[in-house]
Amino acid sequence: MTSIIRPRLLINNQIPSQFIRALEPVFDLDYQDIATPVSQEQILSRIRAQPPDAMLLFGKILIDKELLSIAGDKLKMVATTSVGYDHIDVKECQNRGISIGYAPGVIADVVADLAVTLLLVTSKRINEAMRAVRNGEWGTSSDIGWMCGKPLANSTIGIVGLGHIGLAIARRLQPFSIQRILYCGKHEKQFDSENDKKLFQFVQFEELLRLSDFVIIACALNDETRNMFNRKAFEQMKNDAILVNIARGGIIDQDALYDALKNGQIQAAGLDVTVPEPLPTDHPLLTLDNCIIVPHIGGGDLSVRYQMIQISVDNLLNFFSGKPMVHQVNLDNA
Amino acid sequence: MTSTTRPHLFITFQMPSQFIHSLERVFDLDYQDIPARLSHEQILSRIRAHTPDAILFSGGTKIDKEIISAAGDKLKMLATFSVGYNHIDIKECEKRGIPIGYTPGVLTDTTADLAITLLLATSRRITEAMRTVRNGEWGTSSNIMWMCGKPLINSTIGIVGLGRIGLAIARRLQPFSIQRILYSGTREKHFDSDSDKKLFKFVQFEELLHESDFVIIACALNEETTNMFNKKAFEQMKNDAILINISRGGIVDQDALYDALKNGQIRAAGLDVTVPEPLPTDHPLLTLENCTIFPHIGSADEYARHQMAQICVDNLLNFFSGKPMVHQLKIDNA
Repeated sequence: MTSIIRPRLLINNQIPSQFIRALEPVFDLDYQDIATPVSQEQILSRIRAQPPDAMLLFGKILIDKELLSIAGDKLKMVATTSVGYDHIDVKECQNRGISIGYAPGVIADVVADLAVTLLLVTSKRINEAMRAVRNGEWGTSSDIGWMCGKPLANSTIGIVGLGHIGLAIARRLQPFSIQRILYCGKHEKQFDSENDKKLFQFVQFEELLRLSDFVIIACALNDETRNMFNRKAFEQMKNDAILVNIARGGIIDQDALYDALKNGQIQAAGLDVTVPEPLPTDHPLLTLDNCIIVPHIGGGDLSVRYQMIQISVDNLLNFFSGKPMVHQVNLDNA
Repeated sequence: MTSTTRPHLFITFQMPSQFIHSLERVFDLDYQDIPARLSHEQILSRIRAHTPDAILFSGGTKIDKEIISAAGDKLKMLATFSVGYNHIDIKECEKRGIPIGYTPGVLTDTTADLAITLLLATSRRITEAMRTVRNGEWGTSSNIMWMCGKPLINSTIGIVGLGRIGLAIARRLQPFSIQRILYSGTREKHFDSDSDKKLFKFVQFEELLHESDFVIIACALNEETTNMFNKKAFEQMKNDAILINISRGGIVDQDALYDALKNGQIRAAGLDVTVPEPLPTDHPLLTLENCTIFPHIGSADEYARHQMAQICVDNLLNFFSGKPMVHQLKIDNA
């Protein structure tokens, strides 16, 4: 009697049991129901021990050449629960015929909310403000300039990458009496309304840097955008500009950013993403009052997290029953 | 030969020199260009030493019966560097025929910006998040619930007091995919557009408390609103509601708030205003993770503050040259 060999699925993170129940009928699971993160080394050992047919991925595990060699021919599909896939060697997957599922379309609103949060808390210096409440500095000055922040009214916003997230950020900033929104990227967008045509302007990266009061990074990390915010970029920015990054840490050269902030080349920066993550607690950026760092909480909404896991589960179930994924990374474009 | 006696102006806080120069042309100034705050006693002695025709002061300075009496008949006008006037004994001013200049309008945008900053910082738990970056907690948990915030999407906003600032806050929340905006106050507003008619709903205070996910206090402090947010109010709010106060500390019973936050009667609070200001550094509210406190920075940007200062200068110069003030407080409405 032949037994049906079920595909093996490696899950690298704890997930709510409803998803385990959805996957168990189809897959043999390599799953650990614990709340501590798994390291790259631990994943490699698990793959060596029991090569998977598929992986359900959370967080920072790199799907690089090393992992893919160890996984060998058995690995057919990788489902990442994120919208970004810069942690996956897409070319190598393409060479090996490995399909990639991802989870776009759900996270834009909550990330845009966090982008605006970061922009506001950075420009209003709330780290310094809250410290003044705790350390007794509040009340010692009658200067009307005390704890003044950078206003949004009449400002020029510069959005690097006007995709779903970039556009959601733009919409949230519109009621703040801003003057205009510059954006750069691969192509100009088509806007229908007269209001939008007046508000949005497609420019080259250098012009955006030169003219923007607030620069928001909302593009993907890839070979073109890696370290795009380098010394030269900071030189071109306004001295009182505020930089916000909710995309990927690798888009910024962090040493150059440190210098730019220290030397007043830009006013302040708010980062949701860094290199590495987590950032070491003794990192120089953490010594700067004009640098606010939050721990990659752009997607920090439980309902959104559930939706992205559901998409990934559906991607897996579909693929292994011969159906198209809900969202598959197009390897030719990636 | 008679000399023309110039009116005497006592300025209690530190201002940029351009405004001092404008006032010097008309007034003899009692002004110290230092940021140290004056106490009630120091203000009384300065008034007794050199009786002013006018006093220019900020919202943090109580102008009570004692100060007004000490100034006696010579005092002709008061100019407050604020839109709020709860710190002024209005009745006493009315009795003595002392008109009051104030600064509405120019701080509406920046205060609404700060309200949104506070709401987002509180709902996305920015204080906790920043701390985990510094103390090494970031990266230690793979729980998908870690650092999840309260989403704005599909939420019900409740604005107590839909005046200039309340409405500006409402406009800023519209792009965050909120469901509806309830508001309470002395009267219903008339909206022209159909989309506004659908979005805004005038309700009684209790219904607002009962139904809102985010409650924002944007009304003036007066006899009706003092301690409006008391034990009974917190009982009526949703357990996962977030309270934001950018108006005046006296509208919230702080002991009741402490209990409500400690016992999970509401989820979190963000305060830009407290009683007293500054809040003592050992105040119980400062021990709570779910209470974010800013040091009354509602109007703290240079642009807004300069406009406020200009209005104060114009109020004073106009009054003392027999012209109407730019913005005079109408005491009947106050």
